[in-house]
Parts: sequence; structure tokens; C-alpha cells
Amino acid sequence: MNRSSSSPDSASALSDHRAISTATVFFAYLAAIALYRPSFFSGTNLSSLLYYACLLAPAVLGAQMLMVLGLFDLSAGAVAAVSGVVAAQAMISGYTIPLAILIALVCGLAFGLVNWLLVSRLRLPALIGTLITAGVAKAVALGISNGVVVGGLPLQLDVLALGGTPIRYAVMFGVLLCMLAEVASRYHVVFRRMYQTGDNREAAEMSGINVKCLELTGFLLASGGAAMVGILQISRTLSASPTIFNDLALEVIAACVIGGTSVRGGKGWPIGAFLGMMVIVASRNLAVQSGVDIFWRDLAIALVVLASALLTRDDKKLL
Amino acid sequence: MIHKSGQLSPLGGRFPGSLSVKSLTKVYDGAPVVSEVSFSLPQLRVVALAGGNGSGKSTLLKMIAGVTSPDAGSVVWNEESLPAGDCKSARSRGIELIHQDGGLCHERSILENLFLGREHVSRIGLLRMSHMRSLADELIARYELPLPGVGAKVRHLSGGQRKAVAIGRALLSKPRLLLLDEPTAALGVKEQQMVLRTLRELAAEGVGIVLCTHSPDEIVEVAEHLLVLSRGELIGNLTLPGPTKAELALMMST
Repeated sequence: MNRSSSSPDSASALSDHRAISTATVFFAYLAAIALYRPSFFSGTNLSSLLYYACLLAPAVLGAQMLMVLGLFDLSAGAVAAVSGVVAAQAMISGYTIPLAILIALVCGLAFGLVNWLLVSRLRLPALIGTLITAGVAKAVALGISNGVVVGGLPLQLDVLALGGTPIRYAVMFGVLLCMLAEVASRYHVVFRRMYQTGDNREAAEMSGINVKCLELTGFLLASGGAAMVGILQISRTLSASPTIFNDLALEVIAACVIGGTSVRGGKGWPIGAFLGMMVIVASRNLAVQSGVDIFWRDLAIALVVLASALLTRDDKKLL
Repeated sequence: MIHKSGQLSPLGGRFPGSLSVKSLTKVYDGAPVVSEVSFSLPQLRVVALAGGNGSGKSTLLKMIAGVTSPDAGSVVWNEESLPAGDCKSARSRGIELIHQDGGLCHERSILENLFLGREHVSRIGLLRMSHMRSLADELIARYELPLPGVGAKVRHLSGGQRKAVAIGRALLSKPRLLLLDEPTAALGVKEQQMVLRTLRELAAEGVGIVLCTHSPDEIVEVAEHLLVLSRGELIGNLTLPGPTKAELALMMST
């Protein structure tokens, strides 16, 4: 009997071909860019890509875990916007920066709780439930900001997004979060159970895993991540717009798919989702750099999503 | 019997437990699936629960395990009445149900499936991988389960190997009573033999076993007691060896 117990994949989050597919798409994309526009690979440009991806990392990583459970969150953008506006309003009303950020985070998590109530308790489809939350969050953001950009935030706030030399704190935070998510997804019981639940929800329930509790964790991670993104955004611009982040929810889902996460749940890896976000940020950057109309950026992203989705399909049959 | 005393033994108690079921009833959509089933097994070793499709075997098993709550009646295990429809308390008393499909996560490793829902973790929730791996290796060796390395994905396993994972998972929690829903269904002859051999070994260690089955061969081979269900009613309650295979087949077809 062969009982080699040293196989490293026993706790592995990345299911063999998915990691390879992600890497393939990522490097193929880079190669295509290299041919088309070598100047893309300048040090400053690459580090700015990493920076922008890191600003979005919390939302991507949260959404990735939710997707591992077989769920998704369309309210990410609206929650990011409302969290930014709430933090801004709190600061203007005289709260200290840390307290204002805390209030904004709690606000974001509250929307995650609403998502969970609608989807897991009232059993609405994730598509409908999180769309409802998105509508509410957007209305709240517009309501408390009177529909205009909230400006005049304290200057010290910019330390979050812009502080730190030579490496920005935001980059350290994003990369660290990514590493932490990767390790947790392999070795922490809560995250492993998310993969198991996404794989076979019924089996997980029968084995005594509290699936509803895991789903709550997933929704809170997603909305908490979105709230952090909103806070980083106001830190970077020192102003909060209620109408920003219209594309965030779908971009985040696209990043996860490019990164090899299965929409059906149970498969995917956090670093992959982060690389997926890099691809999306790169597309945006590339469009701007090359003077191509920004409208074509979405086409580039769509093609990458297509390539990645085709490569990570479980059923490899053609047509 | 087997083997050196490791961390897995002693498995439960060495003495057979006692199971009695009193007028257990389950009704779905107005039709009784199990009606007024009562029996008492003071020294439960290996019991076969036979009957055709729709005879109520699985439902009866699930009610004993607390997965399904009965509409009437009660289950008494070792002189202790089990709370109805509470699988956690049934588990805490050593009752484990192995579902027909095994309840496995197919994209996950054997190791993860063995410890599904009952992982060994450190204080901050990190998995104790090497500890679990050595427990799994010990289990596999002890019962000679035909499994490759514990890192292999369940998706790549044969039907018999999957069954071995499902049984192995139940064994890790040191059960006193193992309930199996058609453990040999859809298996090849060799794999059926492997499952039955494992069940015999467990019975010899004092683990009570109740298995649902269609197969007279299987009943003759492992069971010491037979309960026959037909349309939700208990129509046979006998000690083996008694009837021949042909007589069993006839009983089960009614």
C-alpha cells in the first residue's frame, strides 16, 4: 500500500490546474503587453500597478472567500462608497480619524449583515439579495452626502493610502493581507471549511459544520473588505464621492474568475484573485497609457476573463 | 484481531450496546413511510435491516441517528432515551450514520474528508496537520483501508475507496453504534468484501452495526440479526443463522 503522507497538496487551496491556468493567463497577458507596449514594464509603472491593486485588495480577498462558498456580493461598490462617505461625514462632524474609520467599518459590516440576512436567512438568491443591499447602500451614500462630493477632510488622513517610503503602507498592508489570506485559506479551520462547504454544502452540513455561520463570515469579510477600500480611497483623494465605485463589485468578481476562483464555489486561491486584480488594473493603466479610448479597457478585461474562464473550466469539452 | 494499541483504541466499549426502538413513526405528505416500528436488541452486534426500495429502511436509520425527527415514538440507546431529531446528541453518545452517498467533498483530500467538521486545531484555529495525518495513517493501517496517500483527492478514488473514507471518518470519532445506509451498493465484488470485512472487524471490537441492505448474500455473510421492513412496517425480526438465502430473498420481496 502506498501511504506516502508527505504530499503537500493535502491542505492545498489551489486545485492543480487552476493555479497553472491563472499563471498562464497572467503571464500570457504580460507577454502580450510586452509586445505591444514595452514601456509598460518600467519600474515606476509596475509599482504603481501593484499600488492600485493593493488599494483594492481587501475587497478582492473578501469577495474571493465569499465566492469559495459559492456566493457573491454585488453590493461591494456601493458599500465602499457609503463607507467612504460615512467616514468623511464623521470626520467633518469632529470625530477623530480612528473613530471615524471605525464607524465606517462598522457601517460596512452592517451591510454585510444585511446581505447575510437576505441571502442566508431569507433565502433570496445572492444576485437579488446583494442587489437590494447595493441599492440601499447607494441611497444612504447619496442621502448623507446630499449627492455631492464631501471634501475638506483632515490632511493627516492621507497617511493610510500615501504614507510610507520607500514602500507605501498601503502596499505593505495589501501584500500582507494577501499572504495572510493565502495561509489562512490553507491552514485555518474556518477557511478550510469554506472550501469544503463550497464543494459539497450538504456534506458539510451533515458533518456538523455550521454553514450559516460560515456564510455570515463570508459576507462580513466581503463587505468589511469593501469598506476598507472605501476608506483607502478617501484617504488617497481626501474627499468622498457617493457615486464612485460603480464597477467595483463586477471588477472584483472578474478578478476572482481571472484568478481561478470557481463561481460555483469550493475552488480558488487568494493570491490568484489578487493577480486577477493586477490584470484588471493593468488593463485600465494600459488603456490610459497608450492613449486608447478608456472605453476599450472593458473589452480587454472581458477577453481576459473569457480566456481564464475557458482555461479553468471543469469540463474541457469543446462546445 | 488487530493490532497494536494506538491512539485509536480502545474503540468505544468492548461490550455490545443495547438499542430499542418504540413505535417509531414517520409520515411524509400524509403517507406513513415508517409506521409503528418497535424492536429491542439487548446485545446489538451486527444487524441487517432489509427490505425493498421504499420500505422505509433509510428513514428508520436516519431517525435512529437523529438526522430525521420522528412524528411519534422514541429511540433508546443503552437505557438512555435519545432526544428526537438531534444528531449532535446522538453523535455524542457514539452513534454515527454513514449516508449512502458518503457525504464527501469530492474536490478535497482524503485527509480533509476524514476530519470534516471535526478537525484537530490549535488554540487559534490552525489545523494540526501532522497530528491529523498520523491519526489518519494509523487508522488506514489498522483497518487496512485500501486508500492511497491521504493527500489524494476523493474525486480520484473508486467507489469502494470512497466508502472506506466515509467509514474511516465515522471510526475516527470512536463510535459505539455504526449505522450504514446500503454500504455496498454500487460497489464491485472485491470492494464489497473489503467493506464487509471491515464491518466484521469492528463488530469484533464491540462496535454495534446496523446496515441497510437488499442483498441476501450480505445478510448471510455478516449479520447476526435481521429486521425486515415492508412498506414501513416491521414484518420480520429474527436471529441468524436461520433462513436460507432463498427464503431471505422471498421475505424481502414481499
